[in-house]
Amino acid sequence: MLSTIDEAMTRETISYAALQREAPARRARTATLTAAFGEITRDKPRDPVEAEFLRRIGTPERLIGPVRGS
Amino acid sequence: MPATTSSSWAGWDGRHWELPGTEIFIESPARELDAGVAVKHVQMPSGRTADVLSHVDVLVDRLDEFQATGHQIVGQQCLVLIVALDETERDAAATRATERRVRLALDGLSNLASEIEHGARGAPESDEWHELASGFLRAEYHR
Repeated sequence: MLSTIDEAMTRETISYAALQREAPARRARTATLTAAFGEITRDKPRDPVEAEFLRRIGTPERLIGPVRGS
Repeated sequence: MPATTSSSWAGWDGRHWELPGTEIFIESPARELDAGVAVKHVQMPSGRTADVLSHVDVLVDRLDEFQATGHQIVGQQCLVLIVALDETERDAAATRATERRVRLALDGLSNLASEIEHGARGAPESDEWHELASGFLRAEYHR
């Protein structure tokens, strides 16, 4: 349950371990759907500085996608 | 944001930050969260805390981006985020989507995700994503 602390935001306090426990359950719910996507390819333009960093650490080009301004 | 929490981060351009010597970088588009968002205040083992945007608000941000751009990769992210919602988050997602004027996109993409999951159709190709997004945008702002 989220509790309101001010008008701008609601906030729930949890431990890091609890946050980590959420991921597998969410991933399991999406397995069928993501299998239907096939190989993921990025079509959204990428910031050039970010693209350079991703290349440096070996990210495949299909996941870097088009680079803005090139 | 990183500049206020640690001097270890190297800022590239005020928006992108890298932790030197690692393969970790983050993008921090703004110093403040939007009004109305829900966050998880995570207590880290180090004793520090971190505010993590809720799953619902990540979804609403992505719906907003998809409706505006029609990018395939963003549409796919929306479908995954919708299917990953737990039962307790569905009402909050509908409320936030209505507030942000992406309710038609939420409903339409929820139906699309269900059809794909049940094998009634395949995942859309690039052109169809753009048609879907422009349809949601038109309908949302002309009803």
